[in-house]
Order: sequence, then structure tokens, then C-alpha cells
Amino acid sequence: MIGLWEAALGFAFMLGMMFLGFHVAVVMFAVGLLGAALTIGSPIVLAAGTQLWSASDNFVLLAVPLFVLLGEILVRGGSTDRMYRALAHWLSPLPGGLLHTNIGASALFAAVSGSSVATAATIGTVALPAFRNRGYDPRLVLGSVAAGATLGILIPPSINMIIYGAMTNTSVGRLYSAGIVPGLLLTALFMLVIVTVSWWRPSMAGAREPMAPLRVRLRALWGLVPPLGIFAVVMGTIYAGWATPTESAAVAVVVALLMTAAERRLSISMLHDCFVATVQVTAMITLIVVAAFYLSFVIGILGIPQALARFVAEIGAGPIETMLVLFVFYLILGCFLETLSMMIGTIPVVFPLVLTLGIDPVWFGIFLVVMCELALITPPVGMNLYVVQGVRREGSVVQVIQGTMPFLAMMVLLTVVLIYWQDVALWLPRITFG
Amino acid sequence: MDSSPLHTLLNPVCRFAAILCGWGLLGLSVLTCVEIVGRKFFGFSLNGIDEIGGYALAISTAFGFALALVRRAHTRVDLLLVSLPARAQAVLNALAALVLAAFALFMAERGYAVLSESVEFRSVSNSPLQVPMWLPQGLWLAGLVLFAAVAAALAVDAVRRLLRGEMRSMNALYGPPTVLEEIKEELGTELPDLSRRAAQ
Amino acid sequence: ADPTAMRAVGNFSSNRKHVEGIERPFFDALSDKSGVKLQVNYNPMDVVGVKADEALRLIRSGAFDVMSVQIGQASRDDPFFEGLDLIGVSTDMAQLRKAVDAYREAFDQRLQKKFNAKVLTLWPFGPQVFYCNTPIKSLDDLKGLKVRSFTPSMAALIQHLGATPVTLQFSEVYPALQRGVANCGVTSPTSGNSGNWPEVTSHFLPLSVSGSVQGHFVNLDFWKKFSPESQAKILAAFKGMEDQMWALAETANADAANCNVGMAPCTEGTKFSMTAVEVTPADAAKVKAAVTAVVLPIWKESCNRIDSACAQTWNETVGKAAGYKID
Ligand code: NA
Ligand code: NA
Repeated sequence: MIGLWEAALGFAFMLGMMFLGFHVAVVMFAVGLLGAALTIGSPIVLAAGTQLWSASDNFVLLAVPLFVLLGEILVRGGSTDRMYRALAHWLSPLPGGLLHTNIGASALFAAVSGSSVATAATIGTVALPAFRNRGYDPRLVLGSVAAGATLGILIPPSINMIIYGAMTNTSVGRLYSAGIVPGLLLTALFMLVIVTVSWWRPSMAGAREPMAPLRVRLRALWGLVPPLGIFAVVMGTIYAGWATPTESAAVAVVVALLMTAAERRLSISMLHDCFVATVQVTAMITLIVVAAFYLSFVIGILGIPQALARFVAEIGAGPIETMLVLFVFYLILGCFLETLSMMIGTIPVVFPLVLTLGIDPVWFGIFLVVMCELALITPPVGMNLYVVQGVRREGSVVQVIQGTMPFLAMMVLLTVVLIYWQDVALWLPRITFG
Repeated sequence: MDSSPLHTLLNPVCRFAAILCGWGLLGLSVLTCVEIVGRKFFGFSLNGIDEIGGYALAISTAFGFALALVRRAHTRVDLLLVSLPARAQAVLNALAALVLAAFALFMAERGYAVLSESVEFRSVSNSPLQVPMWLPQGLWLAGLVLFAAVAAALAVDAVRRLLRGEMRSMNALYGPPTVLEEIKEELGTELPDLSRRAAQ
Repeated sequence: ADPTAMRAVGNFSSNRKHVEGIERPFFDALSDKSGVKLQVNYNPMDVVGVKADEALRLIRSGAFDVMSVQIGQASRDDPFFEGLDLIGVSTDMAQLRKAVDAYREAFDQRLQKKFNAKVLTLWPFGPQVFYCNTPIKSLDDLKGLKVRSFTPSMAALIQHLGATPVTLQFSEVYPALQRGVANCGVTSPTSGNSGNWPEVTSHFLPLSVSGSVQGHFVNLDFWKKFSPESQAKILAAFKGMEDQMWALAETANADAANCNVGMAPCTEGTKFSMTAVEVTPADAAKVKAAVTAVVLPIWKESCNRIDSACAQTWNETVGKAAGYKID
């Protein structure tokens, strides 16, 4: 058992090692080992093997490679191009024009992708060329893609939710269901930003796009079938009770493969590229997860979560105050840390506290995902900012950052709404799962 | 991606292992569809797909650790690092490679301890499948050993380059990847003239 | 002298009656109650992220000093321990207690020799009974139904009864019963009641096929730090907890069984209105036949593979007490 000061020292040491460029997983594991060696002794150090095996032999986490594979197949199969063009026909007549398509396409791609960074790279590549010579303010174009793409982890499926579910024993099906309403709400808020800007500063939003004939628009709807079909398969099989969330991911992979094969876009070499990318991304994520499982094991034995819970109880903070403090904590941490490291690294300490305060674990999962979304677009370390800038290949990243600011404000608004009206997240899982 | 003789040697080995794991994941997905349809409509169950799925994850991530290492995909925070002078960066990159190698060796050694206990107890999974534990754990350990070997080889190479003062090549090979390199990974394809700009 | 530090791992925190009602207060008061100076660091196993099937390895290595162990899961590393509570052998709590007492000595010897640990307590969660979402009158009606099973011998029993075993993780059973992926689930009256299984099932058959036995084990290196007098005091304290656990299994499950079928008294659980299926002598006979036909032979094969004296030891202990013999 150690006190909060030692724990805070350990946390500072962990951040310090990370900033010196050591691998995030190694730092988490080393801090765990060091804590065990200094306070408990060798049996806990030697138990690392048993804990590593039980952390990686995990059926829930198997959904991570399956969703990565799904995304790889869809992108390499060219489904995303057609999806974007189809949406453009329907959304660009709105005030703000093609900008709405960025948000809509991000939300739709989010319904099949488990990752925001993948969403940003995919939508960015498809969208940015469409804006050439159309007179839109580049900041707004870039901001809408960078921010819109963060929906990738809020609208199910979501790798972050899978990992959260696996680490905290929370139902992934419920988490998925809880992400839908906040995801749609955030999509609407983003579109509201675009409408507002185009009304307030018409010069920024480009000309309103003319509407294509209905026949053309209807034919384009075909492009929406692959993502909507796969989303229906994933959520439908879970909701109908046919499949667990992991099993639904496996079904989605098979369906995507069949769709791609039917369009004659499948080849063995493309499949092998998908496999290599999948195994690489999964290993990168899982190494952090298994290291964090071990860190969490040591932290639990040292009684740090209990000490933190006692401290919070002593200063008399209730659930709302605690959540507001955590909001600020994650907002700051998110500026400097990559999202998975931030989420996985803090769950061992924060989650037990959340439980003692009587906060719903499903709700807290959604809160954490929104914190990760914020972290993706806050400088200096905001992966989506750099991905969009990288796809664009001109100008400065500062323009991307400026462009995300109004969207960032909407995410802060959503967080406040979530904290005060928890039913925004909890209503749908309650009516679908009881 | 920047390359060295060592990377050129290790990359295809790790890639081959990853492709095998990929086929395994795909096979498992197909079996899962069979299981769902069978369970729902024909009253039969393959029994234990979830158990095999757990093993599949453990094994494919263990092999993936090495692949991700060769391709510099393991997460690092480069915020401070990239603003340091080349010499300091090189020292930190070599240190990171060394510590990672120590970690990978420790994991492999502990993985071996887990396997040898399973062999000693002749442990059998406590499910209707009754899988002898040495089987999945043996494959898992093989992946961890590959990771340890690759990490050790890269650490030795990194230190050697550092001692020879090859700072630039050292940082290009062992530093965190640049954003452009990461996007290329993410999209799976080379963007036109992306690599040329990265070199500028 | 300074108090001896003790790292203890308890049961799953979702079993609130066991964890918050008995274990935590017990470990908090252990030092005072036993008169042995201890400084206990107690955590439920899911709080520290320990998986139930790794328990024997963790206690052997001394990672923890005292651990709550789920015997069924831990049998992965030695099927001998499963012999305490083989599927179908003890069909009520009184029979189970006889079986546990008969096996305790052999169990403890084995644990000391192979896993460097000693038995402190052995107790059940409670009778594992059937919840079905289709009308049944007896075990015969399980024919053709899909029943969730979680161990090899349970799958064998279910198959022997003409039903199809399906494997599902515990958290998946409720939706599976709701949507007909499975027809029946097996768990204790309390777990089923607190997990709201009666919402998705209609027929309750209180025929127990197992008691889901748990234990508390202590690492021997840690144990040897204490004088024989201190050891006796600690053992006595744990014996008190064991009795509490047995009492909880009996009273709480009787109460929950009443609640499931809407009878009084129902003070602890949620009241539901399942149809109670009466356990007939014919059903009991059917289980007995299945035990001899499939459960014992399967267990003999896996256990004798590790230790050729396994079946013989069982015959002399549990077998004698319960009236079974492995040939
Ligand atoms: Na998503
Ligand atoms: Na950030």
C-alpha cells in the first residue's frame, strides 16, 4: 500500500519517460515492474508472465483486429469513394454545401470503422480533392474533416469501446448502443456549425451547390449500400441476440469480403496487404493494452484507486464535481498524449473511483471516448490534425487547428450536456437491452 | 520507409508470419458465421469458437509485436524528441531500443515460465474443447521469442550506429516515424510524391 | 513485533453478498479476531485483474498470500480438484457437505504437494439449477433443447440427456435466453435472480447438478512464518468464515428460489413468477444414471492421466460418501 503522493510521483515519472521518447507500452510496464519490485517484491514481478497470457488470451479484444481488417478491406476495395460521391449529391444543396458532406461521410464511415485516425485518413483523401477551385475557406474544409473524423470512435463500432469493455468488464453491446445518440447529436452540432458560419460569413462557405436531377441522385444511393449494409449487420446481429459484439465483427469481415469480391476488386495480394496492416495495428494496440493490464494489476495491489477514492470522499466531491474535474484533467492530458495511451493508462486508477462514486460504467465509457475525440484535435499532439495536414500536403497545420476550433467548441458543449443529462447516452441502451 | 540491411532481412520474415495470422483470423471469421447460423437455425454449435478466438488473438499479437517493431509502429511520444539536437535524439533512440529489447526478452522469459508450468501440470483448458494449454501457449511463446530476437538485433544495430557516430541514419531508422510515414501506413497506399516530400 | 503483511485476493466483486457481506469484513477484522498481528491488504480478484483460472499458479508462486479460488476454473491445472464436486454427484447442499468433508484431507495433501498451498476454507456458491424458456415438466423435456454448459463433464451430462450443449460467457446468457439462442441456462438461484434471468425464462427446475465450490487457500511459505499456535488461531477464524459461507449458500438460495417462483418468504431477491417444476425421484434417478454412464468415466480419464491413483482416491472418499464407484 502506498500513498497518493508516491502514486503521483509514479505518474509524473511515467509521463516523463514517455516524453523522452521511450515506447509507451514499455514505460507502462516498467513503471508497474518498478512499483512491484520496490514495494512488494519478486513474486509479483514474476507473475508478469501469467498476467501477460491472461491479458492477451481475450475473446472480447479479438474484435480489434477484426474491425481493423474490415476497414482495410473497405478502403482498399474502393467503397469509400462511391460513398462520398453519393452523399455529396444529397447534402451539398444545404447552406454550407459540400462541407456537410465531410461531416456526413465521416459519420457514415464511422459506422463501419472502429478508428478515428483511419476515418480522418480515408475521408481526407476522398474529400480534399473535391474542394479544389470551389472557393471554400480552406480552414473550414480542413476543420470539418479533422473534427468530423473523430466520430469514428463514438459512432459504433469503436476500438476504444472494445478496449474499455475488455478492461472494465463492461458490455461492449451496451457501449455501442450508448454511443449512437451522442454520435448523432455531435454530427448534428457539427452541421449546425457549418450552417451558422455560412449564414454569418457567406464568403467562407462557398457557393451553394446546384441540385442534381433526382434520377442521378437516386442512382448514387447505391454507393451508400456497403457501409449501411455492414452497419446493419453489426448492430442488427447484436441487437437481435444472434451474435456477441466480437462475433458481429467476424460476420462484418465476411460480408465486406463477399461485397468486394462481387465487385471484382479482391485479389490475394490486396488481401495479404490487408492482413499485414491488420496484424501490425493490432499488435501496436495490444502491446499497450497488455502492459496496462500488468500496470493495473500492480496498482490494484498497491491500493492506489482506493486511496484516491478516499481522498475524493474526504474533500466531499460528488459525482458531478468529480466528472468536471476529470473533464479538465483529460482535456489537458489529451493535448500531450496519444488517445489510446491516455485512455488505457488512466483506466486502472480512474475506473475504480468512478465505480465507488456510483457512476454508470457504460456512461463513463462514452465520456472517455468523447475525451479521446477531443484529444485527437487538440494541439500540440492531435493525431487527426496531422493526418489531415499530411493528406493535404500544402500550407501549414495552423490552418487545420484554426478550422477545428468551432467544432471543438461543440464537443465541449456535448461533454457538458453528457455530464448533466446522462440519459443522452444511457437512454438507448436502456430501451434496447433493458 | 528508410531501410537498412538488417531491416531488409527481418521485414519479410515478420510479414510472412503476419500473413499466416491473417489467414487464421479470416478462417476464424468464417467459422464464426457458421457457428451463428448453426446456432440460430439448425440447433447446433461448434462449441468453443470463443476460446479459439482468444488463443488466436494472443498468438497473432505476439507475432505482430515483431512486425510492428520492424516497421516502427509501436507508439512513442515524439513531441519533445523531435525538437532536440540530432545527437541527443540519437542517444535517446538507442536507449529506447535497448529498453524495449530488455522488455521483450523479459516477456519471452516469463512466457517460457508460463509454458513450462502448463507442461509440468499437463494443463487442459477447462471447457468442452479441452485444449492442452501447451499448444496455444507454445505458439504464443514462439511469437514472443521472435519479438525478443528482433528487438535484440535492432538494439545492437542501433547502439553500433550510435557508437560509429552515424547520427542521421540512426535517427531515420530508430526514431519515431514522421506523420507522412504514418499516413502512408494508414491508407495502405503511397500518395503521389509523398515520399519525395518526406525526404525534403 | 511488527504485524505480518498479508496480500489477500477475494472473490469477484459482483458477488456482493460474499465480498462485501462476508470477505471484506472478515479480512478487516482478522487481526483482532484471531489475535495474530496481521496487516491485511484485501482486494476482490477482478479489482486487481486476476483471472480465476490462474489462481493455482499465483498462489504457488507466492504472488498472493491468501486467495479465493473457484475450484472448477482452477481445475485446469489439476483435474483432481474437480473431484470435490463432479457434475450430478451431489444433488443438494447436505450431500455436497458430506462429499466436501470426505475429500478435504486428500484435497489438502494434493494442494500442499503440488501447489505449495494449504486449504483454509471450502464452501459452495449454491445449487446450480435449471432456468428454461420453454415449458418443461421433467428432465425428459430437455431433449432437443439448447442448454448452456461450461465444463466438459457438464456438456457430457447435457448430451446424455438428449440436449445440445452450447458454450456462452456468463454475461451473454441473458440475451441468449431472451432471443432463443439457448433454451436453458444453469446457475444458482441467487445468481439467476440477481441477473434477472426469470425475466427471460419461464420454468424453474431446482434440481442441483453442482454446488459451484469455492475455497480460500494460503501459500505455504507464508503459512510457515507463523507459530503452530498462531496457525491454529488463524485456521479457527477461517473456519468461522467457511460456516458463514455455507449458511449463506443455503439461506440465500432458498430465499431466491422462492422469489423466482413468486412464493413467500422472499426477503432478499426480486419477486418473479416462474413456473416451479417439481423434482421427481425419476429425475434424480436419471441424473444418477448419467453420472455413472458419462460423468465419472470422463473425469477418470482426465484425472488418471495425471495421477493413476486418482479414481481410487475418489472411490475411497467422495465415492464412499455419495454411493458411487468408478470402475
Ligand atoms: Na465507429
Ligand atoms: Na491532443
